Amino acid sequence: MLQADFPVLSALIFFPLLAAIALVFVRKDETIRMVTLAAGVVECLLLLPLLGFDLSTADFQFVERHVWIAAWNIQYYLGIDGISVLMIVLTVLLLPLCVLCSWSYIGRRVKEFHICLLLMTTACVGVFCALDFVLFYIFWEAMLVPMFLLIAVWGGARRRYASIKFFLYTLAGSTLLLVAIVAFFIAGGTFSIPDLMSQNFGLPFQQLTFLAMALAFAVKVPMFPFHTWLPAAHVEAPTAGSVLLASILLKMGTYGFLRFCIPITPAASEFFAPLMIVLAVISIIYGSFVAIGQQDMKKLIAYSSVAHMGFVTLGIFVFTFQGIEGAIMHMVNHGIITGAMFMLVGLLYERSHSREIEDNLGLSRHLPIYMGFLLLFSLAAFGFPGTNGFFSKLLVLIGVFEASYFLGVLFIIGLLLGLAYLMRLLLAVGWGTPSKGAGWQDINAREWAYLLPLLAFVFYLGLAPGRALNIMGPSIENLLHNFEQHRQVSDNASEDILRTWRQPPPALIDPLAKDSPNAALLPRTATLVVDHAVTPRTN
Amino acid sequence: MLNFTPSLIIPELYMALLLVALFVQTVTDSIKDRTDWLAYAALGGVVVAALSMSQSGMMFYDSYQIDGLSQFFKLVIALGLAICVLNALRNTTLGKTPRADYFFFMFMSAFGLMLLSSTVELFTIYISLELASYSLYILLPLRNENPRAVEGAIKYALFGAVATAIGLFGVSYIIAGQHTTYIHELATMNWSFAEQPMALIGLGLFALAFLYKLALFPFHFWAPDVYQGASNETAAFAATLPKVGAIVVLVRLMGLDPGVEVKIVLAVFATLSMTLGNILALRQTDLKRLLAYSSVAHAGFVVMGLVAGGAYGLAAASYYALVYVVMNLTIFWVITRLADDGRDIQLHDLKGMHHSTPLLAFVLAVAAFGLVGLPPTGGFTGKLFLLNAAWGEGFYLLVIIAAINTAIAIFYYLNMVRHAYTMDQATPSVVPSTVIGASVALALALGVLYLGLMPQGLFDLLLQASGALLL
Amino acid sequence: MMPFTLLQTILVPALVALVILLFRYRIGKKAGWVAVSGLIYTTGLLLAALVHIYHGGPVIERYTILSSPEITIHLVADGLSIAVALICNLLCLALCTYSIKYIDHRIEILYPDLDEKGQINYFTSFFYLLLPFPVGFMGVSFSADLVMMYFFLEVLTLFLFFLMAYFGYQDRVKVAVMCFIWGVFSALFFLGGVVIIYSQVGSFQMDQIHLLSGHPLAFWVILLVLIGFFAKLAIVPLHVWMPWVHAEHPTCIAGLLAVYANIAAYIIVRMLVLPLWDDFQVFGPPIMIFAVITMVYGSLLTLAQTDMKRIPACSTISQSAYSMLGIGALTAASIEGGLFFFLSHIMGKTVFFSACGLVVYTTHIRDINRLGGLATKMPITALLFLSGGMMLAGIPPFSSFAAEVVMFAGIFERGDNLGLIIGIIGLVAILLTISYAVHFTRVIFFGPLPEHLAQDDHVRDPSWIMVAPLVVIVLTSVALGLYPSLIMNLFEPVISGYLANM
Repeated sequence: MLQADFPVLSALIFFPLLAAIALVFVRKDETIRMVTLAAGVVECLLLLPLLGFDLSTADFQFVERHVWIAAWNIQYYLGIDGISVLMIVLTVLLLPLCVLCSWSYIGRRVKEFHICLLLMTTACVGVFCALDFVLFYIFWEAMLVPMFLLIAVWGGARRRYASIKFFLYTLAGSTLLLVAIVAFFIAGGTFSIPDLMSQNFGLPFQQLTFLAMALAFAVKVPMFPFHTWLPAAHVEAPTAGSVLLASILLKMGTYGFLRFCIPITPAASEFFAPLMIVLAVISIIYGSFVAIGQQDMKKLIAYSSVAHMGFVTLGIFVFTFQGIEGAIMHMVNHGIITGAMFMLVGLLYERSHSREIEDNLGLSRHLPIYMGFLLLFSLAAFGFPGTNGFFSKLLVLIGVFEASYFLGVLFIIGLLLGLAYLMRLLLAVGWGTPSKGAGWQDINAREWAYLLPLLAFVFYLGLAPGRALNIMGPSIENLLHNFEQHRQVSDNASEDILRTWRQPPPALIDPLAKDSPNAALLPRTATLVVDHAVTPRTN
Repeated sequence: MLNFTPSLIIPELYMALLLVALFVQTVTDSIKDRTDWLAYAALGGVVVAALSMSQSGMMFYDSYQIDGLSQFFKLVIALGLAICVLNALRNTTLGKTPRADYFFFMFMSAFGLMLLSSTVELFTIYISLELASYSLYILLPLRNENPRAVEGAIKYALFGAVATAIGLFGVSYIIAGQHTTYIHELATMNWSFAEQPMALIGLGLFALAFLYKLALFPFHFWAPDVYQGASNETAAFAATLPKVGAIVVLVRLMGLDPGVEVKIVLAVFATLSMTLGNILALRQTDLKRLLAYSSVAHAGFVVMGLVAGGAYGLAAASYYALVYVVMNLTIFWVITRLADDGRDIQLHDLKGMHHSTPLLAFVLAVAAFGLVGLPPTGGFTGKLFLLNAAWGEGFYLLVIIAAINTAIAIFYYLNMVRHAYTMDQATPSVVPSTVIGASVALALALGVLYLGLMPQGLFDLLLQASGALLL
Repeated sequence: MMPFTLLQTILVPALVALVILLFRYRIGKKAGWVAVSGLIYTTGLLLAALVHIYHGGPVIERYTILSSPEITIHLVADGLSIAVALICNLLCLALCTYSIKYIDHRIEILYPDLDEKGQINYFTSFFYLLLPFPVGFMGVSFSADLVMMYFFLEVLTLFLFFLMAYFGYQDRVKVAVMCFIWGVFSALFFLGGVVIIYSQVGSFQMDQIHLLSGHPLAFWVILLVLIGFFAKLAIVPLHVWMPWVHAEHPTCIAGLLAVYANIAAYIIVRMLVLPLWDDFQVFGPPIMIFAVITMVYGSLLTLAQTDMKRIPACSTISQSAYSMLGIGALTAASIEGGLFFFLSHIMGKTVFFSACGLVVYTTHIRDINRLGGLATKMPITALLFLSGGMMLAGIPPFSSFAAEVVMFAGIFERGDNLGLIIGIIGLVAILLTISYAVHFTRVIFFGPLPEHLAQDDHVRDPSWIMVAPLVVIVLTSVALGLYPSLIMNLFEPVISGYLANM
């Protein structure tokens, strides 16, 4: 086995970067693909140490902590808990699959393409590992550039418009995040996320920072009304770009809610939860309705992503154990399913050179295996029992029902709408007339190779979700426990608002001290501690 | 006392020596155009400046101070000069102007800036500033008798003269109010508006001369014409080093800790500067003009650090100055490489760069994203320091506007990258690549990234220097 | 008893389906027999379990797959579920056997231009799509866990969609979608109810539902689930999908469709009526009223049909309502009778539809106005058709008669005016059923034989493979009709016993 102090997370983050640099010196297209694929496989192997993840604790694990910029108390601080580990696994596993699905799709500027893929992996894994706010922001923004290039260079006809829109939206959203980060630093004296979680800021301060952060995350998710960049970006992006966008980038928004909004600004999260819930519900209903009307398959899936991410946000902001559990599961599941859906559309595009539904009608007779895959993934997307989509949606549904019955009913309507657009897609592509598929080749070996692992995950997580839930369990319990403790700001804390707003720059703070001095100044609230286990209610 | 200790001012002496050599060259017809040795000489200047980093002391009747801040800025100026010289050696637009003359004035200007970073007495500061400025006035129009160059230079000279005159006028107020021109004595004085209104106004007027150099709104109107008019190589010089000189003086002046009135006026100027700079830049298609407006915006950012004040704020401003210089030198380096014949580069000239010069395209992208302030470039780290400092002092609105400006700015910087990476030219242009061209470009790009990822050592240095300033 | 008996009854058909799918070219035309043998095996297992239940208590098996929220595969076979499971399995077995011949004919009509490989493809696909039905029925019958039940309901919906889309008639895909959407619609309402239960009780277990009793939310749970299942049972006004579906589906699965729709009655009893007895009282009268309306409406609709295939469709609407009538009356006897009728009626439906199928299979004619006098050429078919009709109408000696007796006894037992009026209207509806059963028998099998049929040599009784399974069902029904205690003894301890303990 590896030594205990092997920097697992750093290796995961920087190996793709090294591979990208190495790729600069490779010349032949075919070799580039092979090298990237090999790098992807090695990156997957680097995941193996994560098997040592301790299921019994909610603490951050595999922690790496070094002083980076002492003057500002910025650290190179990595660590993972039950919330992030699944996202990392998903990110890393998608890399080789993305290489495979672009094998024949990308014909020009192959080298740059694969470099972008590798850089994306570095940035995404970094986002999920970072426990220092500045480090997080660096990875968060760093992924914009390769994604921009993926869309702008290898995209479709309106790629320039789509890529700029993507970049502007996401960057504009995250500028205020930076302000929030700075504000936290001045008020809390540290950039370290775990340390900030234990502090208790005044309510007005929490509200403003929550809004600043939520804007950044909501654009990324994307929640209505910030979603308009998504369909454009998805439609124009190449397959691998769409896959990364849908499977990983969107998750960062909801991950941000879980990692930052709820633990650091619990009172504000509770205050704004109704707003977030309303937006999430609108996302679900609106996204589904728009998806129903789409002619372009990618657009359809893109709008369905808006709806799906609405489910996730909804699950998060009802603040119940099952809701959050389901939300995280659905983040992973949606990553798998939608990734696969985009791959399927991509490989259809390679055959028909069109993403319009009406150019791909009636394939079930000519491409039965393809239709089989499309069907299974659509069912998973709908949340058919036995597939992964079912469990996560069920968990969210339970969480939502615990919070409000009205929401639960809306949720079910959302599910039905999901059925409508998926059926429409399936029917036209499967049984529509006139049949267009004659002479097209069914799934080939390479395509099997990247669809099968995803299908395996669909069923693994659908039939045995226990392990995944065990992984995230302690972390969610901890999250909710802290939330319950801090959801009400004590009176002292609100009087302290001026102090938390105006702290002199902490020149003499020991950067590695566990508790920053401000934490001692701010009295902790010890409000009611609710045991979150579900107990049967009898009459 | 005179306190003349030559060992303390080796960089200045070295520069003086070079100036003498250049002067000899300008008056000797046979070697007028043989200036290749200057590349080595300028690099030597960097080495000398680096070696004398740790010096400190006072000279010339306490009007000349060698401290951490001055030595740091001297190094920056030497480094910038070296790059500008490397750049300008292949200047193709000098026409009949002897090369030695051109470089004589460039070095003279840099020499003035070096003096500026050490001077701590108002009149000495003024004289150093004029030394740097007059050389620049001569340098700017040297471009194949291009009328726009002349127009820009005249504008710069006229308004510059007025600005410095106002500065001098301000000095008279300060003397009238505080009876001294030594900064370390001024530092002990009372600067509140209630008790010393005249002195405070005088300080404001004096600072105005430097804000003019910095191209802060509303003193920015020279920048677009000068940038566009001057030849690419000269613009690279004019866009970077004089600003460093201005910043060092402003850092010293803000070390006086003037009243909140000055800070608020500056904060308003900073806000307007970054907003207007960015908005005006959106519509530009000439790359140098675009960079001029972007420099107006960046001036606003630097002033944000000055407004915050304190050791952290001043250090952040200084750090940002360094980052700004490196980023601008990088992007100007790319521009001069692309403009083989010395033409003004338009946005559409960037098309197809990913194909014709992949390395320069990459360097351009790094510089552009650095100017936006995207991590992991120096632009981000510098901006982060500025925001931290300003927020810590309670300038919340300023910080929020600065952050929003990033979102506005992204459009035109991204536009550059977009042209370079996603568009192709009908007839691919051929950009000759040289070893020096490529390696310096790469070094500069790595420098931008280095400043972003490893700011630790430099920032500590600046923190100590500005901390010493406040004592 | 074998270990994992109940799990096997669910898994074996699924595995057989998988085997057929994977080795379809190797197995070829033998796929039907493979499927049949799998079902014979599970029928054997069910009989063993039945014997065990007669002599001992219920069979309980429990397999944990998820701890939070607690989701286990928890299978319980008591008198109620084993009876439902056994009859459903028997019907699946019979229809599977029947389809071996029938589906060949369907494929010839639907996909005439196929080569041999393509034909085998479709032929085998029918069986691996059919086998999930026993899986779903067993699952629904035995699940003691609501999530599992939801899962199996969705499995049924999904595979019904495939069977319709591949083997139906003209508008098959459109109607299959319609059917699927209605199915999912009802399942989602069911799920909504389930989740409310979980949110209050903290468990998905069926035996925990009673904790909700008396809670104000119980009303909403019942309402949601009932709306869902009314759509599945095609109770007016949620019946619109049923005639369409019946018109388009291949006849050989008509029996399955009847079970698919009516198994909801079983779930209602299991999940709502018994645990939430007090809360359910409010719903009794409305259910009865809706049920009666549906019965009358369905019967009248049936009488007006001339299309061979729409007859059973409309009759299903009216028949499903019978069980609901019994359940709505809310007495032990009426519920038992209702469920018994559900079992009898799905047997009758199977025989009746399949006999219709036999006629279409041999004559290729769907319009009954062009048929007549077939009894002389197809005596056995005529007999089967007649007995099917009698099983539906509830004429002795068939089991449905016994069921109706018990059920109406239960309804009148209520003793109030509503029960009386509704009971009487119900009896009138039965008369209508008898009249249409006799009417169609007369039109199709008696009277003059049209010229084109008389000269057609193909018009004769089909092979024993198609007839024998139907005969077995008829005999089963007769046996249950003569000895209703066979079933009632199974129901008694579960329903009456439960209610007595309240």
